[in-house]
Amino acid sequence: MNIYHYIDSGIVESYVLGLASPAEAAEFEKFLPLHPVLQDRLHDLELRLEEFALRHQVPPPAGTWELIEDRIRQLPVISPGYGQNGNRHARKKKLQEFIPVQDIAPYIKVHKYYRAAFILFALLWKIFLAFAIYYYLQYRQAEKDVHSLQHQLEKTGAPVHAQ
Amino acid sequence: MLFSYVRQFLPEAEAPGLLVKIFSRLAGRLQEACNSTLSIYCWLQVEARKIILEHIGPGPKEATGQETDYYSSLLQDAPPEQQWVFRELFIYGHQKEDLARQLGKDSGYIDGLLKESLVTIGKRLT
Repeated sequence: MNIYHYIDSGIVESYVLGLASPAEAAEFEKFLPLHPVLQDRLHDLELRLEEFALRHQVPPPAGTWELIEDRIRQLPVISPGYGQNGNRHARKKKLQEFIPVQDIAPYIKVHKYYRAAFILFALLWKIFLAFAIYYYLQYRQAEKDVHSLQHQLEKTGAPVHAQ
Repeated sequence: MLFSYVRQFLPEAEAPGLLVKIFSRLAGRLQEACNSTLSIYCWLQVEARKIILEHIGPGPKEATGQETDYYSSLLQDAPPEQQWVFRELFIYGHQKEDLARQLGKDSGYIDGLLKESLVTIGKRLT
């Protein structure tokens, strides 16, 4: 197929204006990625149509944009479906086309049970620390008592040893 | 920009209401516009035309007084038959077979006239 003959057949204009039949549109979309000259012609025509639209623009009556905004605000936030038929399969297929993006937030995300576990661990750690301080002080006190008793024994026991 | 495009299809009184309808129906399909091989504005025109033709419905159409404006104005120097074919197919959404029947010709003849009108429009836009 000669691509220049194909372009000269008016297919690009037909496609851009929405006059191409489904078969013609499918054929055009099949050829488009294969022929840079076809892509150039399409982009060129799109640009010229937009320029034409800008040159011939007529503002809508006052209040039309407010009506459009009101109507759009009334629309549900989530579209009922992505597919042309809105079916679940088409929607699932569409979702599969998205590229998975890795979350790069500076925080780590943990399961909610880790919070309770961490609180329990902190409480137990404090209880054990309090016990450790208490028993250390008890030990120091007992050691002091032992020393003082030994000291008293030495004092009272000296005459006994002398006999 | 889209209002003047809509105006070529409809009487002046109907165009603003249909513009609201077009935007409210296409607002949920923006992703489709981004995925299209067409630019967003051209996609918007194509989809708007489908909604307009759906609104107008099949059957004989009343003249709006705006048919010769906008894209049809690019065909003002073309033969009347080309202008008529483009207007019937693009503005009124008639089928090629119906036009061929009216002219007593085959649909290939209508295809030829449409092709010539589209090539003229392409050249006039340059």
